[in-house]
Amino acid sequence: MTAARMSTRPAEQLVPRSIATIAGYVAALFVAELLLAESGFLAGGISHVLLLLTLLAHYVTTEDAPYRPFLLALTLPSLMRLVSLTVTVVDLPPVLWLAMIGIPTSLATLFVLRLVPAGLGSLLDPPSDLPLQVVVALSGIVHGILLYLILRPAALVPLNEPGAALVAMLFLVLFVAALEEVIFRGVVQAVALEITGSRVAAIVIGAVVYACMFVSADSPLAPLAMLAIGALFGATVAFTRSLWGVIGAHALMIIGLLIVWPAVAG
Amino acid sequence: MTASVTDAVSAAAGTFTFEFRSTTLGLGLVLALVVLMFARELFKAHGGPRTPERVRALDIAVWPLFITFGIIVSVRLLELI
Repeated sequence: MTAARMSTRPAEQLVPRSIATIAGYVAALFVAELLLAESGFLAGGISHVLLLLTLLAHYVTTEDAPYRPFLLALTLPSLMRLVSLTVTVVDLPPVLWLAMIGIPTSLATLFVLRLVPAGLGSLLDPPSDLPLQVVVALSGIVHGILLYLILRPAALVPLNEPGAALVAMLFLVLFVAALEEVIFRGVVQAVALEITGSRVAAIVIGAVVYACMFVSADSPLAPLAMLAIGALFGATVAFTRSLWGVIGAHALMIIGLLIVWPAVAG
Repeated sequence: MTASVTDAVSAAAGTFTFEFRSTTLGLGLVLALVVLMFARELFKAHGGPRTPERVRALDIAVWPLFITFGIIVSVRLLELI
């Protein structure tokens, strides 16, 4: 479909076509992660390379399609996975992996935000409803406990090494909580909202993309749990119009899940 | 377990050597980087009103992949030393 033909279509036909395109690419992301889980890192990695190149080729060869910003937003999960599959060095502590993956992915996110006006918007402005954002952030403690009971991950660093634990917490806040919320709620969900005009559709799309990233986890419950977390965080962002609360919740959730609760449970 | 480091990512790092990963998927990334940089220069040479937008779109992948390439080369050099 050329851009010229697209622009002659009535607006009511553009949204379903955009949703179909978005669904197709999200399905491709799901398949790439499934291949990573089931067929190995090479099949998954090559799928992500192809998906990344297809998304960029589609973006630069179309002009006025309303779904174009989503193509850029969806490059971020694929890039994140490609970097993570390539730069992880088993001799280095896994905490350092977070920075080695997070720095290139953060750079890509900044580049996407240059081209996507709908991304972030006012979501990182100082919150007008600070008490509500604090309550949202504190809910991350409960999410962390629930996720730990479901997934039972090993501790990232021992809590009895305060220096290492503090560095790990800092990296988890910067390269997991903040970065993932900016990508999945601040970019993917915000762009989906701009394209579809529906909060519900945007929340669902953001949550599904986020859950896709956990298809390559060992536990089959992981993507389902993250779908629920993604939908909850997405709804919170959609209705409070701020990312700060969910960044706090994500930080407390992931610090609890990977550092505190494994140590407490022994 | 995070979105960036899932069990499959940890398993790949533990199962396959860095050398193997960098000469297979790493090579794929470098090829993708070369293709994107070539396309970027083609767009620049071709010109037109949409050139800056297209170049910026390609930059989304070019710079992170370039950093990744730098990490791969650095780790391989450190292994040699």
